[in-house]
Amino acid sequence: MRLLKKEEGKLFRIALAVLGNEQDAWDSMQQTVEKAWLKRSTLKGGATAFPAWIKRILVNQSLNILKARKRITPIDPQEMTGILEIPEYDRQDFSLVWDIVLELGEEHRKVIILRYLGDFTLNEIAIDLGISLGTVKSRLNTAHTRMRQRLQDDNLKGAKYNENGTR
Amino acid sequence: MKMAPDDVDIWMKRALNSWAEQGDLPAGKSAQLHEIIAHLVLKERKKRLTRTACGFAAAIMACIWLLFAGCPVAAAAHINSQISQPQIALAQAFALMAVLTCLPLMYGFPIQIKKCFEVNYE
Repeated sequence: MRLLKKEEGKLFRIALAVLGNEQDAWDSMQQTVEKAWLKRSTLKGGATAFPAWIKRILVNQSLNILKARKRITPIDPQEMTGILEIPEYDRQDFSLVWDIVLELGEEHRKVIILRYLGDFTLNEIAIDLGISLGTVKSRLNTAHTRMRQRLQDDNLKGAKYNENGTR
Repeated sequence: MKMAPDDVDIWMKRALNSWAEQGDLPAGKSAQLHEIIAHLVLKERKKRLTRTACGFAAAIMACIWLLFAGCPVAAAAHINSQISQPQIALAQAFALMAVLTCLPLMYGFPIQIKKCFEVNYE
């Protein structure tokens, strides 16, 4: 419980990023907790491995919800905009990335979230989403290109990158 | 400003992760989540307790069988009658089957608990 308490906020946001709305994210959180409890014997590495382990369960649960939701109600582009709307939490660097994600659509969003929030490898993303490795690479590449263009266009954000960036 | 692809990769990862790390559950949800875990712990304790009880019951039934398996022979001796070996084997097999039939029924009990829990939980 202590370990979960530490991670729950982050997990909720990851679910929110995958699913796009709070109700589904909450459902995913509940299912994840239940599944994690039942499968706790598979956790190797104790407290250190817990964040990555539970994150993986959460992402898989969220993807399952996403698949189930799609099977029940086909989402039209109008609805998509609403579903992809992320609540107005902090909108700094994240908003830049999320704007690109919104621009690119759900298919790209899944790849980006799995890659950056789920820490999946490219192969794992391909397997989980049932797409080819080339498609995964191409979608990430599109996101990178758009991101680069956006940062170049936005001098202010570009300057911010220079100040706080990794290099 | 020109950026190498790796930079964008790292930058996007950092931006998304820092957003996720600042996350918090909506009010009351954290307590609800911990309540779910408490339910799961309780459910598991019940299951373990039932299994232990079933184990004890099985042991008692095995003892009863051992006790009654010898009955045909004892009864025959008591009335000074002869009882054939196949008849003894048949009586023992009957007693064993009665005990074995009861065991799955008893082990079915935890499944019933699980179903009740799921219905109530929903």
